[in-house]
Amino acid sequence: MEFKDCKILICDDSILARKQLKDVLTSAGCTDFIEAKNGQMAIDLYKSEKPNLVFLDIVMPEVDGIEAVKQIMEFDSNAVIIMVSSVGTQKQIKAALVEGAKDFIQKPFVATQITNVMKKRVEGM
Amino acid sequence: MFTQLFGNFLLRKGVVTPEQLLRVIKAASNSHVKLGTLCMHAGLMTPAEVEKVYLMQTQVDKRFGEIAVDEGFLTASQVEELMENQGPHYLVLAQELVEQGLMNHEDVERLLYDYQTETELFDLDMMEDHKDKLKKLVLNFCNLADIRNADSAISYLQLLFNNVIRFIGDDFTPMDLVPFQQYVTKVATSQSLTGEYQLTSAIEMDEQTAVAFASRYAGEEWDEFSEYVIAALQDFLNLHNGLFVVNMSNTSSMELNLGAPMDISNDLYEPEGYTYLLPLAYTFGTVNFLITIFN
Repeated sequence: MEFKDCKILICDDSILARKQLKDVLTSAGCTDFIEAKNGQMAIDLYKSEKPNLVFLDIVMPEVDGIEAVKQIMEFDSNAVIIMVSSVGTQKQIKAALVEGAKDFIQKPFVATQITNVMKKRVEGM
Repeated sequence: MFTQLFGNFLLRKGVVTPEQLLRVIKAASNSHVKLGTLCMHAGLMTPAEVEKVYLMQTQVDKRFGEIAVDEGFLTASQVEELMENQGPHYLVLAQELVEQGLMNHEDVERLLYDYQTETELFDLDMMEDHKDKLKKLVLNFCNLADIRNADSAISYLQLLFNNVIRFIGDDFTPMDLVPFQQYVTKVATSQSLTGEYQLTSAIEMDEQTAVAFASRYAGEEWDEFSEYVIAALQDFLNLHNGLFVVNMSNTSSMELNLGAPMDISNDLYEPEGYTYLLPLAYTFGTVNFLITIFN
């Protein structure tokens, strides 16, 4: 699959964080985005939109990122979820990976971290 | 050099009032270091010699360097070298104190000497043991001896200084840390850490300052207040607190929980616990950190 054909769900409670991630992905050639501002919205949008890839923050109001991974993976065990968070403790990384997340990117990120993960994950699709 | 503490040094010495300092900081942001100031800082000219050259400049149409060379105070190569090296940023602040008539060149020379020797400041980029030096600075600056878990509070402040320098810039002066019980906020956001160590921090400033702060943080050039501005404040706080949580997990095996940032703008902020106001006077405005430590 090419980047431009990849439907991407970006979930972060910060409108700025969503914009920054979207800017990086747009520069890399992605065009199809859906945005969610909390974990519950991400779960609902995943079920209705079936995105190819999900970027998910951890610390969010209502349903947090770890719980969102769990519920998305219960719905679709093939979901490709990449965590992007400032709270990159071993405990949080482990919790996210145990629930089924594929990668973890510590904020603040640089563009190449995002595009490298994209390449790795989209290649196999 | 750790230039942002020079302003705080002036406050502690009682040579300027907070209002005067803020005025000087603002003026310094649009100024550059003059050759005379650089000469004194480099020890190449005395304050009296610098004053003499400034006086002569009012009588002859020549540059400072040309007159200084003519008078035998400097060589041409020294002028060239000084012009290439603008010196530490705090010199602009020192120079502005003279420009605004708050002190003369001799006072400034003495203060700069005291500042450099008393506070033992270090270049962040050059020192291998920068963390220890930064800790020393924070200890000198903040009296947190009566707080339980003072080490964690100091680590938090160290990281905060690091992060504001890293993400916003080093052109700030920390004002004195003061305890408070109530605070009326303008643009503000808060976030809580819970677990073995509990702390709530907030970042607060006026709208104009928030636009400038957010622009620097996000690498944008915003000129008006928007939801992106408040999001940038929240992102900065979230990033800082997130990195603190990671550090505490890695260095102290302490697992802390981080709550979502909350908008507390235009509110009466009355946190429970020991709460301190830490104002950082940036050249674009004052950024207030409100830090509550729970014993």
